[in-house]
Amino acid sequence: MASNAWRSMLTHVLGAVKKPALCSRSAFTRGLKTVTLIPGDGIGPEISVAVMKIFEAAKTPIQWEERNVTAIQGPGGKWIIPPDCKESMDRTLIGLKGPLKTPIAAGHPSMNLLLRKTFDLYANVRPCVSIEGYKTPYTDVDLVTIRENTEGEYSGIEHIIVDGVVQSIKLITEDASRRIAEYAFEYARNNQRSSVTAVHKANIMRMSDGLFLRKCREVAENFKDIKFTEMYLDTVCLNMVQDPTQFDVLVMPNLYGDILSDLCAGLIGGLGVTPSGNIGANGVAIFESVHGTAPDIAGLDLANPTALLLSAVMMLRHMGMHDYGKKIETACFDTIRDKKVAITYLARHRTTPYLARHRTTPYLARHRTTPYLARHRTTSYLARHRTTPYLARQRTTPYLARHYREGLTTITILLGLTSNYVACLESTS
Amino acid sequence: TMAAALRGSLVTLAKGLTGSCPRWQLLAARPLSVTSALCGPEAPPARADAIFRVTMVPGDGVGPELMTAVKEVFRAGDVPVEFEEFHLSEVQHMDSDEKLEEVLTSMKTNRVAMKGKINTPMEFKGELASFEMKIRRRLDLFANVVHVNSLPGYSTRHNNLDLVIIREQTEGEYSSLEHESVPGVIECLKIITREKSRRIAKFAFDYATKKGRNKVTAVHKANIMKLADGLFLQCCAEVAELYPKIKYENIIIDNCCMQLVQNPYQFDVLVMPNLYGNIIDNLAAGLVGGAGVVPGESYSAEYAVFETGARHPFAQAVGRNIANPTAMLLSAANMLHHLNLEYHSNMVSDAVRRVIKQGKVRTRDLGGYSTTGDFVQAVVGNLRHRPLY
Repeated sequence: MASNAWRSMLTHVLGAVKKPALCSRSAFTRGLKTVTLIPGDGIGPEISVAVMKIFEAAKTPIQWEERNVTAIQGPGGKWIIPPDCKESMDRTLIGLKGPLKTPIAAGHPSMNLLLRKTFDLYANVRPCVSIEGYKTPYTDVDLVTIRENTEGEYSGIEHIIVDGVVQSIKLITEDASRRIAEYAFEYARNNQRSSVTAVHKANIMRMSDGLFLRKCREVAENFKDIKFTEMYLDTVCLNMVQDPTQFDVLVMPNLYGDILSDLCAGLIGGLGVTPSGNIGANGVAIFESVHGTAPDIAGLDLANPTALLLSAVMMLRHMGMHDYGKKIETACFDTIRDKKVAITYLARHRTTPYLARHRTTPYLARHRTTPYLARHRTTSYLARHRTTPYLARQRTTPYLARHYREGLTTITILLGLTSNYVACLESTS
Repeated sequence: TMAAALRGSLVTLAKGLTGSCPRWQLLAARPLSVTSALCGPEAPPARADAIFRVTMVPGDGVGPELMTAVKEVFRAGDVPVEFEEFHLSEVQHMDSDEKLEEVLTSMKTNRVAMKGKINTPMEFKGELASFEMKIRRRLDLFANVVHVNSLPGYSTRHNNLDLVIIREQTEGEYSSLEHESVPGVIECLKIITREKSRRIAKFAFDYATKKGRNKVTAVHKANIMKLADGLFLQCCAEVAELYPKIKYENIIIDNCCMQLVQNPYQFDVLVMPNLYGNIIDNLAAGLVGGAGVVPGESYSAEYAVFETGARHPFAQAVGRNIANPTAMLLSAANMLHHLNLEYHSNMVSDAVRRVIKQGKVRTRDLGGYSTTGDFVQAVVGNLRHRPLY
């Protein structure tokens, strides 16, 4: 229900964006670029709307093409993504994607995997930059993790040799290693970064990681302006938690990338504030927020759009619109820094659902309506008992951490409403 | 033998007294050395009648310097341990197989060893397994235990940490099985077996039981490696059912790393396959001050090897007298504990902790300017309870 409402609003906004473009085609079309938007599930549609609104306020010359993705079975029983989405992506080459749910035991592979395969998204890029005003034990983090996304430990080749003995194959190829290394160095050059570090474990996996490392060294020869260093995975982990400032661009195979990119996201506050981009062959790129879909707060105006917004900023940079990117990014960081919206707890776990269910404004709005309140719990009562400071005191992160540890969906939330956040951003941009 | 006889007589004495004074029994039933340690400096323990022989492999990098520190402290504290030293290295042309055999024989006789990191060159010269791996496999040192404990007096971003990382270290990604299927395509095998997974899971739960810890978390990536890590996870879950008093949870490796930097207090005992162990060991060591302060140990059914928690040769510090010997000294103290030299173990670890807490003598990695030598001298100066004869 709620998601339908959002979708209609989405189309509404979409229309609003499209209209001026249509009216003044002569004036605008030259700079106007089309981007495929995949709103996703759960909170996806609302954070997509948030991003669209902010883009509109910043007068970004972007035109959206909304496409939904669900796994469908093509001829021969192969799972594919809908043809209209494929067609749109092939045309626009650039996509922005909200979180997609991964149904367990639905018979088809996860949508993320399907998208990755369809467009051969070989590189996953995650810039991790400390956000001022959002306190974590680490400040001044400014690094980028670039992860090989198609092979390595996640090749999916496993078999049981005899009962009780499983063999899992990690696949490293020359081509994929060179491709990722080249991308990393090009990224460093295009984004004014000075060094690239290859992360490996070639002392143990002498052939496979050895090959990866050799390719990195070879590519480094062609990029003399970028400093190249190589480090063991364990040394990187050890140094990362002590002094993350020493790292710049990190390039690595699949599993290490998976681990390190999440570790770095942890340094700056979690997946709710970390943007991510996937680079594919033939110029395709999909930018996404990597947090979960949080179905229980969908439609409650509680979702945090920061990750998707920063991903969209990454997208602008990728498209060469550095000015617009800077403008929106600054607005976003300023908003968080000035605490225009209360980031009371950017908790690591399932804070949002809990709050949504129990003690948040929408809850109160729904259940303790004014007549009800007038009768029973006057404003002063609420002021005394169920106010934000109360929540801040009682439901602090350690508490939540203790109780909602199971939540693998990691979402950072803003206790302020999404719409307030968007409004602040709109005014700043 | 004399100590055992003495203990026996004490126990008989205690048995005679049981009826009248139960507290007596409590005291007397403890090992002799603990009782004397409780009495303070005035009453040193009876001099140990046996000298324990321990194999020592200093390894590469700063290993020899750290071992010198250990020897110096042991000498000053009159610790009844004698080291049998072997220099084994893969990078300094000392890598003959005979040498390795010699070390292994010594380790097998002594059953206890102290080891620095043997540097592993990454160039592939036809040999896939490193010396480290060979030693682990030959002695079947399957369990690596790293107890990550914040040091009082040295403040980091995360204080009062107390977690234990238990790592399977004989199979998994470290199986040294690799081949080039076609030019430019390399396959690296990760092996997970039920037998070894169950063994490490049981070790973790036994450890938790013995040390009075209440939760074991299995770290895995079973969502991607469904069969391999799936098997590991299944074994952990099966073993967990045999220990109803200990809580069992599991977490995906990437999430685990993220949680460790955001809120490491949620973890107690962590158990995991080989490579993840390598990652988490180092990450957690980083949280409390780095590779220089966290001790570690490896166990097989028969042998115990004591080393640093995060194993790095730290080659850039060789000969500069800047390495932090804290980890190795604490590890040596753990070794003494393992040898039942309770009194000496406490003496060494207390001295190290006191020096860290005072904060006057600190090596560079902890933000000070002192040398390794200064630190060792400070520790020696703090060995308060010196045995008198």
